[in-house]
Amino acid sequence: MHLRFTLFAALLIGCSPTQGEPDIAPNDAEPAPELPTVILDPQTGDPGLGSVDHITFGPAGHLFVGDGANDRLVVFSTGDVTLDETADDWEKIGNLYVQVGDALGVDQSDTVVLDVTVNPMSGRTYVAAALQDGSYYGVFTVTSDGKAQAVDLAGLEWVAVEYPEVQGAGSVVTEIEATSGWVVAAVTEQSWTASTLVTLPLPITHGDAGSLTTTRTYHRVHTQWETFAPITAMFSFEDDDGAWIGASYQCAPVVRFEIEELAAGNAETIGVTPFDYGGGRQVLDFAVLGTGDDAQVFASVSNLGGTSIEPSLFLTDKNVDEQAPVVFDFSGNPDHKKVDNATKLDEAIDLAVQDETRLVRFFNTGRLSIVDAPSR
Amino acid sequence: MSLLLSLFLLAPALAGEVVAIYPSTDVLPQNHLRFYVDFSERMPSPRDLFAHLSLVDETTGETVEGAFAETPIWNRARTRLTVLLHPGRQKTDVGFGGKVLEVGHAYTLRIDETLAATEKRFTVGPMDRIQPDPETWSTQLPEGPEDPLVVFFDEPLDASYLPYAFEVGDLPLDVALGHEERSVRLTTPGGWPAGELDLRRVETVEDLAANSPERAFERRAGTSVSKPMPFEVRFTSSLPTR
Repeated sequence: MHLRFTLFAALLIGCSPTQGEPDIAPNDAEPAPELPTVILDPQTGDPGLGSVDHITFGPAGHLFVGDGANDRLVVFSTGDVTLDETADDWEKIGNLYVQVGDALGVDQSDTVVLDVTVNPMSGRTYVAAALQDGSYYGVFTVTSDGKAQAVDLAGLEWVAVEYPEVQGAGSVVTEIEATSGWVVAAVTEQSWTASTLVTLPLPITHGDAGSLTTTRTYHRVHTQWETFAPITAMFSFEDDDGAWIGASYQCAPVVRFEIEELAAGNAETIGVTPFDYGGGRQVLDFAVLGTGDDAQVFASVSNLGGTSIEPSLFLTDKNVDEQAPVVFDFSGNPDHKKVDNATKLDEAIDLAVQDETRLVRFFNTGRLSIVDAPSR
Repeated sequence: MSLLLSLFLLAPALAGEVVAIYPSTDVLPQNHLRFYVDFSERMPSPRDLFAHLSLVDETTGETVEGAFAETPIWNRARTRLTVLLHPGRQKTDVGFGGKVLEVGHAYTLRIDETLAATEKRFTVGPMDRIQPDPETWSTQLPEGPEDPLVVFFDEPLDASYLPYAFEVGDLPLDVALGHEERSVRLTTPGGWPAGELDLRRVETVEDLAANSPERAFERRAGTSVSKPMPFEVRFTSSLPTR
């Protein structure tokens, strides 16, 4: 309510927010937090995005964008760093395709939603969207009254980092995670063959070059090494052993990569596969609520619906060749007790954390909703 | 390295048409993985893209359900679409419902008119678990500066890798794929300079089942991971005698 009043007052005195930018209002009840530096040598003006494959938020309201068409990661300083208590008032948004279409002045059938995420600092939902003909890529916020509003990316400071690409035809950034001083992005090329990760330390300087590491993982279901396994879903986590990335694929294994090993810059990084959802399933997206032992890792899984996983399941012996497969099948097997059903996820294609207890879900029908996190 | 991929598989097409589908061979291994569909111009990518693609088993007359990994991968120009047969089915024992392709059956990959009406027919042979072996490759060396340098392979190779696989010194190369991607023809603008030149493979190549010279696509745990498989040919180019 207080924020609504502040915005209303601003409008009255002629200080309306710039069109296309998040309607950010300061919360003068709390002192401004000291924010870390995330980008160096920032640029301004048109960032020249060729695509917006994937978006995620890192520290201090910085939006990480996968621009695979240009083999780049672009990081925007949104300035959206104050909690907006009205950010989740959009429950009646209806169909997100329609809202994006309305914002662009086109029919909803011409739009594509590529990713949905939530800025943890403000609580605002951000949407990567495009026109189907590829003539437009952009980022939108969902306003408190349920509209999609274009973010004026050219009005923000940004930096870009290129990564090497072999086949010269462009790539696709399938996932990005920012954690513990690092950003990790999963990239695939035209041939789909390589499972590659780009790892960069924060802060990121404009013009830096990202290095690729090819990943190799042990696939428990068919007891084989995988290199042809593009990553389609990731989450980040920290425990007593440090920061790590959980990744999943077109097939069902979930693989743990230590950030320390990814950051070493080796040509190949071997992941550990403590867990597998079993045949016929694919993780569509992850979301993590909480920290440490109290955390829950949620996964929306095709042909299953959803699961809630204890992070301790990802602690495993690295000698994977000698490990027995751990396959999730709801059979009551004691080995599976660290995974529970989480039906509220309903095979959402995107999950994001709204706050300590709720998740944002996006479905390929265009439906966007907030749901209380499934409890164990 | 400046590369120009010359496609000569199909006649020039009208706007928005399919100009090539790779692999161009009409016999594919049962563990085949990727098709590349080349369009004549930038294409839209509808939300239900894969509803406009189908794979029909002509032997049974039925459409193969769940045939594709439904993640659209376009090239930068949005003129090439990678169509990946579901790896969870094409890999061994993953459990996504058995192989997409049956040995001995005939299939049609069909793209409907929403994108650009076309189809590719093929039959299916046995699984290919044999890695490409550069030691079996051969070359046709140029006799004059304008002659192509041709590298012949022992099987069809994946079309997306070949344009980047070879270098000759630091010369810019034009690369044309040969019949059924069983060869590449290399030329350089202005012709080969006189003197000794080294042809080398500098990037990986894969066969239709994603086996590369360095590693098999599917590897049992405990098997060797990779080994270098160089391909180098030194040849002498001379100025034309006339």
